[in-house]
Amino acid sequence: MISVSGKIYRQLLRLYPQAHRRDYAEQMAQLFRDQCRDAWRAKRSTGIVKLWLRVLPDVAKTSVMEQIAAIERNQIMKFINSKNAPTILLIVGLVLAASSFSQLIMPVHGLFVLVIMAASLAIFAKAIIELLQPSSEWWKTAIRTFVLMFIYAIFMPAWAKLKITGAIPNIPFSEDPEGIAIVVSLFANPIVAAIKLLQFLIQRRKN
Amino acid sequence: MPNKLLTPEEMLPLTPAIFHILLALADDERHGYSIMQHVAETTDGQIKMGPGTLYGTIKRLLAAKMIEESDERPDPKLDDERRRYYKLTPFGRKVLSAEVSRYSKMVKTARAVGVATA
Repeated sequence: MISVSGKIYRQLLRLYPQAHRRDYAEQMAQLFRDQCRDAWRAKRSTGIVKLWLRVLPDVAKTSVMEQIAAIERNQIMKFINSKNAPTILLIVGLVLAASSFSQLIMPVHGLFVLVIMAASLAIFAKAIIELLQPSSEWWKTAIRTFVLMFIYAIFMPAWAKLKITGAIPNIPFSEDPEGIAIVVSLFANPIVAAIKLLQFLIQRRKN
Repeated sequence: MPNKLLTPEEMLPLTPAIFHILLALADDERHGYSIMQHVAETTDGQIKMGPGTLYGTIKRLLAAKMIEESDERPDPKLDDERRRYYKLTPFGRKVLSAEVSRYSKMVKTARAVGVATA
């Protein structure tokens, strides 16, 4: 039973990352054999079963932890976590925003174009601040920035276009709660971004 | 574990696994099975580490330079299989001392407010 358990445990070691197996698989297998031997001496088969009931959760938990640690050490993740990542997100977001502007070359509703451009630039400024002053949580801001730019780029011009073509009836603003909500959300983010930019400039001046 | 070496106090508080492994290595260099046995004995069987937890923690302790590999040799008390031995580094000893000091202060504070020890 010790021999069989040892073989099964060796197979389970494949759940660990290769680097970890290279460094520690032999020692882990050796320790498990020692534990099997002790368990058998103490309580025979019952002892082996109890040992497996302890070891299986240990394998499940630690193999996942080691895999996550290995992914974090992976070069791709290093690149994503590097300072290049916000720039890449910004470029992708701007491309999305710019591609949506082509839907709005409508002289009548130039205001929408201006507003959307202002929103995109404000979000861009917010992301630049995070790039220059990265905090430990900058990646959350970068992702939020990207998602917001994506939403603005895709949703806002589409809504504006539907308004222009009359698919959404042109009712007065005061009777159009959806429209009000959309415009407010359109302005909210640029205002927050402008405040952040101001705070950043004041902080730099103080330093 | 951070790549940069911190001061012993900055490494605190230690997880139970780390504390007990460092404690096991305080009086002698040991291999993995010996560490596991020491931990089980000193905790009256409360902490029984699996191979995954033990060697995952050993890996982190090596990276933090709190322990180092000693050599590989058989344990005469067991069998003739070669086993990798580990020992505390001076930094690891300082971290362990800092943690024991922290525990001592906690016990002293508890006693001062009338909390009796078991």
